[in-house]
Amino acid sequence: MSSDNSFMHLVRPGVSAPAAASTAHNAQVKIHTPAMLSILEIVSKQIISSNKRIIGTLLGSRSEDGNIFEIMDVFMVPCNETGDSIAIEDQTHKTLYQLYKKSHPKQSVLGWFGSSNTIDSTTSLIHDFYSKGVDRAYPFPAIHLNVEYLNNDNQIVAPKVTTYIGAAVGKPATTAQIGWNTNVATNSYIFTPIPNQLINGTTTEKIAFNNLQQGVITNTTNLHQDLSYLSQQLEKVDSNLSELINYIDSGKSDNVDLLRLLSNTLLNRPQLLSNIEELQKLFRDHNQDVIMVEYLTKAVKDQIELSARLTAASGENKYEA
Amino acid sequence: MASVIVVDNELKDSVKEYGQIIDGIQKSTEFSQSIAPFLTSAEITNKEELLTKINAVSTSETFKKFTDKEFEANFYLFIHIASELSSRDQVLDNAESPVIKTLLEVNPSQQPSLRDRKSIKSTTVLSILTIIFNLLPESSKTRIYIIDQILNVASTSGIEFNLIQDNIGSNLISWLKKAGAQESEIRSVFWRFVTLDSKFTNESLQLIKTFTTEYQVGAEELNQLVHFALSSKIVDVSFLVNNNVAQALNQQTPVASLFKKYVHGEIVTASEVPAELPADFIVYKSKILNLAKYFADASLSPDHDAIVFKYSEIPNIQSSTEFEQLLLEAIKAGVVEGKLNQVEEVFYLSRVNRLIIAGEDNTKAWAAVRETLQQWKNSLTNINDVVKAARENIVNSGN
Repeated sequence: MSSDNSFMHLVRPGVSAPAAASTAHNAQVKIHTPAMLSILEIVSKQIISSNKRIIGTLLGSRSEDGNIFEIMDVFMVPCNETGDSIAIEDQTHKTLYQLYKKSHPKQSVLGWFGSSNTIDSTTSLIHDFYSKGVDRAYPFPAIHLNVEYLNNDNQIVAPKVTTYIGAAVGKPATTAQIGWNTNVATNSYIFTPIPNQLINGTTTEKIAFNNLQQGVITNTTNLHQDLSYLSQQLEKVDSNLSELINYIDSGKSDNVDLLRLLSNTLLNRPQLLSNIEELQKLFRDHNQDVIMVEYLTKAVKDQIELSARLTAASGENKYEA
Repeated sequence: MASVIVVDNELKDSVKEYGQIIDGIQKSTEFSQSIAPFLTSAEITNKEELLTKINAVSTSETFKKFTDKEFEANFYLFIHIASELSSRDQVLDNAESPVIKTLLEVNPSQQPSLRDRKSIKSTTVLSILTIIFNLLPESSKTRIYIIDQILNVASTSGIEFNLIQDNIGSNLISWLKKAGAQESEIRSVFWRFVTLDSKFTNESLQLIKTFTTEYQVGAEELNQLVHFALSSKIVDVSFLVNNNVAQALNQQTPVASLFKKYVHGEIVTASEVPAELPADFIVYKSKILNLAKYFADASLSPDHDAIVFKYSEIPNIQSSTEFEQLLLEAIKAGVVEGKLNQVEEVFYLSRVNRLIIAGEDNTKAWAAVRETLQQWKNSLTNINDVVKAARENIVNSGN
């Protein structure tokens, strides 16, 4: 996802979080598509009010060793920045997180996201907020996702997503610890980039997205279009095949890798595909099965409804008697 | 944006903090006292002298006393202070800098024992080297030196190769190019990196393939390539032969002719294999490939059925058990797929790797692929008709 591959990431650097895994391994961030869309939507609001900072919380899960972060959802947290200082509406964050936690008990706060061209002391302040305290990433390390979509002249450019982890710098301050709530004095971090990738959606999401692209989802979506999905896909494969055959025919085919791939996977195809009668029979049989299952399901449903009505009716009779 | 250091404190406070850390480990206040005169005014005036003092105490002996976790955080503080007192270019963009020298000296020469949970690990040194690399500008020559040192640390400390394989492998060439490395330098660093892979994995073979597509292959490099490919568990390495490698294989050396024979699916004999390579392993691999080649040729031949193979037809085998063993190995290696009927002694082939070699006449293979694609296209039209008819059937019967 990140277009900037100039950084190196081999091992997750040392972080101050107490629950961070001690075994050295590389870290990775996986972003689910809905979360990414929400992030882009939220940060794009920043431009409306003359580049006022907009931040939000990243929610999701961590792998068992704590090195793979999966961002599944996000929400915005209001903040007020005046000069060097910044006030985050802690209560809003808490309320929203607790609401989210009710429906997703296994997910937790992973870190935060924002949009900025530079990483400065404010970034470190916010990172600190998310690294410590209850209802935040503590005791695990927080991650920071930055979307750069404005250049230095405030012009909109293609969004560039970078994910960071904050390595600890200097002495880990050991102030009094009360329960989980520790106040560590230092706000110093080395923000070091870690690789991220966008997770492709499920098949259902892909179908929905394709439909969105074609602009066919309206209030009057009819079943006919849903049923023709298979035909659409077949036509798509068909056109891809034509394209490939044209490419081979064009004589420019010195692509040995392509030839190897095609030869290794295609040449022993099932014979069935060219036998239309057999194919028709199989497909019809399959459809008959589906219709049968549907019929039985309907019959069982009717039986249940009937039984419920009869019970109700006999209950009423008893009452009357 | 690469790595960014954000320290919330004033430089003076950072120096004081560093003083306390050093005092803590040396169990004396000597260092703090010696730097106190520099910190009396609002701004540090004599930065150079202060840096000399800090450098003098920040030796590998001092850092080795820290635990692993303390070491990393404290070393970052040292980097920050040194950069602020002089400049980042002098401190990091300089292979002779005391910071980099100290760091490399701290790298343990042997792995700590399991009981030892505190001493500094090589992975921590690797992590710091990574951050230094990220702090340097892309065009900096020091980046090449750092990559070299990372490979040194990886080779001496027994770090798992897969930890560095993915990230370095996919970016190494572009980093080196941006840093202005000479072609010879790029070649030597690349081959050094790849030969660290003691498991000869498929990922490394793919890296070699990408590399040789871009760069000409010399005699020594061909030697390394052949050694790597033949030692690997991957049986079908014909994908390694791109135009550059094919050109290099035209040399009349024993290694080149051995590899040529191998990728063409001919059985090699133990006497042809150089002494430093595992001969039995390679001979067995060549047998697997030879079997795959037989399947590939026979399935396309008009005199033979495309998918049904009787045991008795298979060449170069002595018994059915030998064939079954070989076949299982071939399936495990991913070069053949199919079903085996042991009772009737028949093998039904469903897929086989075909040995496509660059630089040779592949017209027939292209024609075969084209024909299959055309057949597939025709059958797709059939399927589409079937689907349409079935749908109409359902809709009509529903009404």
